[in-house]
Amino acid sequence: MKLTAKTKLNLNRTLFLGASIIITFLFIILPLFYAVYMSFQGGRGADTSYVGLENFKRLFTDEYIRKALINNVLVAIVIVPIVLVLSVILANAINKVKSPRLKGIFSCILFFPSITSPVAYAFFFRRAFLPDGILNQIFGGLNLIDEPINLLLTETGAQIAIAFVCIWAWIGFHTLLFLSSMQNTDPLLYKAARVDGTNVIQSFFRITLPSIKHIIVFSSILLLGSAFQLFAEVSIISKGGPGGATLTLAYYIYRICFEYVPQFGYAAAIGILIFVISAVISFVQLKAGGKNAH
Amino acid sequence: MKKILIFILALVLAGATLGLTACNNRDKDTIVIWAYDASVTAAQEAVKLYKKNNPNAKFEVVELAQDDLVQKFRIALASGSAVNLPDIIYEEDYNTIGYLKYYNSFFVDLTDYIDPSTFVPYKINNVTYNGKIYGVPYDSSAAPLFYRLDYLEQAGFTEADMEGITWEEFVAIGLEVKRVTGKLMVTICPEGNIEGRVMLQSASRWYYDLDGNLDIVGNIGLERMMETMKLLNDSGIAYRATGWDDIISSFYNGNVASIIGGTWWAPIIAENPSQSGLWRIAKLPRMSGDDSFTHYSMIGGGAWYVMNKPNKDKSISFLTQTIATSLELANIMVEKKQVVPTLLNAINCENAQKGDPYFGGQRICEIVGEWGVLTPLVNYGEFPYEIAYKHGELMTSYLDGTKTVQQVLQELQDYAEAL
Amino acid sequence: MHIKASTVFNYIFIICCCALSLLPYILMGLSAFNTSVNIKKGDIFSHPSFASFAANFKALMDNVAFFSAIGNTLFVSIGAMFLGVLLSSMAAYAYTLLKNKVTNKIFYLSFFAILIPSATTIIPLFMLLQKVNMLNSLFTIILVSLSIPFTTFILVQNAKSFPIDLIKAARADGMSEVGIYFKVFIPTLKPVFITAAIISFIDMWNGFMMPLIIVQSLDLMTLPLFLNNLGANQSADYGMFMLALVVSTIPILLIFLFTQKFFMMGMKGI
Repeated sequence: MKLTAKTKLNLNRTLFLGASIIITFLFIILPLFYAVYMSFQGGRGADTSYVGLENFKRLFTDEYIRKALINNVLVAIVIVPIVLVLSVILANAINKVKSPRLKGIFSCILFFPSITSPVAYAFFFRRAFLPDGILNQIFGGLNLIDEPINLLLTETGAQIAIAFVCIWAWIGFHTLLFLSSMQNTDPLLYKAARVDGTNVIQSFFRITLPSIKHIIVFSSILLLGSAFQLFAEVSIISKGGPGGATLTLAYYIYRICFEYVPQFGYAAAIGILIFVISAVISFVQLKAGGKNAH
Repeated sequence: MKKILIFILALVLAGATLGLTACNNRDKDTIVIWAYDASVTAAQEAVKLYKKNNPNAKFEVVELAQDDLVQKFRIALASGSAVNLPDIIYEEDYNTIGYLKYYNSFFVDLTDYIDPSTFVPYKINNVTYNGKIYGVPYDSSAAPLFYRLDYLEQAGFTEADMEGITWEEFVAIGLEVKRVTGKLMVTICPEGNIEGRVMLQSASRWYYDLDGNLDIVGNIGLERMMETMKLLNDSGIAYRATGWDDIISSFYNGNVASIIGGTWWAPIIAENPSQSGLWRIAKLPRMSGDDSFTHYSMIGGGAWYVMNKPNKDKSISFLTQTIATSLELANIMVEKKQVVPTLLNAINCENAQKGDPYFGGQRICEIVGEWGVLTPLVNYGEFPYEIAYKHGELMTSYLDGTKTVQQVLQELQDYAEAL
Repeated sequence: MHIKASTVFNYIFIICCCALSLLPYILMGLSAFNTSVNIKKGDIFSHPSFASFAANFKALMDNVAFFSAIGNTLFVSIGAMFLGVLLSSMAAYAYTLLKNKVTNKIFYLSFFAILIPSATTIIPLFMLLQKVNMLNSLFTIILVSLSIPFTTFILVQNAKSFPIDLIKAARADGMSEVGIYFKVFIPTLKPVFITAAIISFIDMWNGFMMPLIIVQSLDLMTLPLFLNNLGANQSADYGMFMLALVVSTIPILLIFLFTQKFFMMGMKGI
């Protein structure tokens, strides 16, 4: 049987794309549709029934949604920029190191937190923040404080603790991204700038930053995604407390499914909320960042 | 080339199909038991015991962390089918009514198989719903006061001084202990509402009344409990902890002189060899203000439930021959994990008669076992955790002085009614 | 040679960050030399000893669940590595070299799939898997956790700079697309493949949420599940737990250390 060139091409396309699309559809997209279906079911336990938009209306009146949303937003507008800025600065610093071997070692060490399971480091940090943990031992040893502080006891303290862990965990990956992009920048650009009389700071802002702009967009999309899906750290380190100070939307889903008498329909509605927020932010980012990301 | 690619893709499909059939590669006759912490040992010992007379019975004891067990259990219940449920599960008493009300068809009615008179009353009460018994009571989880005798003796007190006291007397002792030894007297965790729940039940009260109706505003037990917590907090003798591990490290480091908690603390305390012989237990201090306020309470106890699955008859037979009646099993568990039995006739069993050297020779199981019949019965209601946690949050505001008792109770009532 | 002050500050800054990055691992390692009680007390500096380490080691070796967890995790990680790289590279090939309007649309849609948070899909996914009886299987874990959209994205970005003339020449020579894929595409993009392989392997090794809902029996637990079981249990042997943490994390760090060069090359194209 003689196939036309076009049919052959299409066959190939199906062959190459088929499996990925099926898997992505079945295990990522289909559950999303099912989540939408579930979000229209109300009631507790086994007696669920169609309740229309009840669950979504409840999103507006539930004070914990407000608290959680504020916390997620706080992470997004405070921690994400900190991570971005620190990553860029760090990448720039490593880029200046002359020996490629040292560069490799540094970036590798910084990357370790990104390849460690959050479950592993969250347990460690929880222990470290307790009054007799490492943090207080260090501060006490350096004579910075008189009495051990129970960081997780106060609202601000717990927030600082989580912020610290997030920054610790997220910086490495993005530093690596920025670094590899910076290494791609033509060194002649810098040489030319120096000849022109631009100093180090100016060349950073005028050459380095623009050349990594697309990475900034990419990184911020990923980071914002992490900000709104924050779960493992708050669940293990602070359990969303004290008083909901570190409650996140994802942890609230967990709580209403597994700590309270389950309401899976409401949980699904919160899940949809997280998705909508993430999607909207990503699209805004892409539009703002221009077509470079693709 | 194409052939290789097609071959690989076919392999993937085959793997997927294998995935489809891989589920339930477990023998249909195996009884699956889910348990956490000390109850795992109980399950394993019970299985050993049962197999002596029933060598062909098959069991799989799955040990899970408590949070994971709850998670898996609830998600399996939510899926609507009993396929992923275990045959037997050990779950906390607080969750019982929620499960029995909203997932009733999954649980098996055990009324015909359990003799309630053989168990301590408050535990049978915890597994009863609508007049039917659904669970086999297990761990007494009574709440004694654990304290460091050496710290107290340094401050001039004896064991007798700790027996049958009120919270006010406790605070007075605590102030003196702090003055002499510099140690704090007790840990409190208002956020997790641990001591609060203990005190509330000791006052013969709960967030619900015995009929299961909300009982918040006007509940004198609640009011007194909050005032007592504030007393402990303001007197400066309490260590504010953020969670179980914080509490554990505070007494491992010898920073506190006493803990309020369940009997299941005993093996955890006893894990630290350097404090052997220094600990004792005493009755929980009593709140003052009403005759119904007692020295006895519980926290965190659980029971075994049979799930409505094909193997349920086998599960029932297993449970009734071991955990529900076996003195021998209770005896073993007393020795292994210091589980205080809820079987009335096991309270004075052989191992319970032996003193525990870690606690200066005190016969913990016997002592606590005798409190069993005096522990108040309460109805935990549908949403105990939601209300207790909310109360914990509000209590923190109350302790900080930003809310009054009445404000807290009213807010809590409003919240509970909306659930 | 004249050493600038700014260079010194640079190094100090980097080294501080690296130290902060490494600190938890060092402390974890130190904790493995301590007893459970000491760790729960937070007291890991005063009495580390080889005896404690030996005891923790023995406890871990006696723990059958640990070994089965490692075995299961290796199985799913290697499986995910091969499958993930295969499928996403084939997809990347289609998106760049077999482009048409339809594939472009599909590409954008799959990018959209990256945005779907796991918190949203995890419970519905459980319900669906349970309906088709696919729970409690390692194969399911592999299939479900393949982060195909992300690795595809990286591969596509790198494939964009692919010398299309090579392809045209190969096609002119009469090679089938599949042949080109194996003989031209893969060899040229080897470093990126290695990056994608590393990402897939590591993601699967650390994967927690998916195995959590899929695994129903103890013998199929993966490492993160095993660690979570230990860590959440207040009466567990924390010495053994710390050692288990170390054993679970260090190999990944070492793997990364050795393949780091390829990883950097692969990340370049983004």
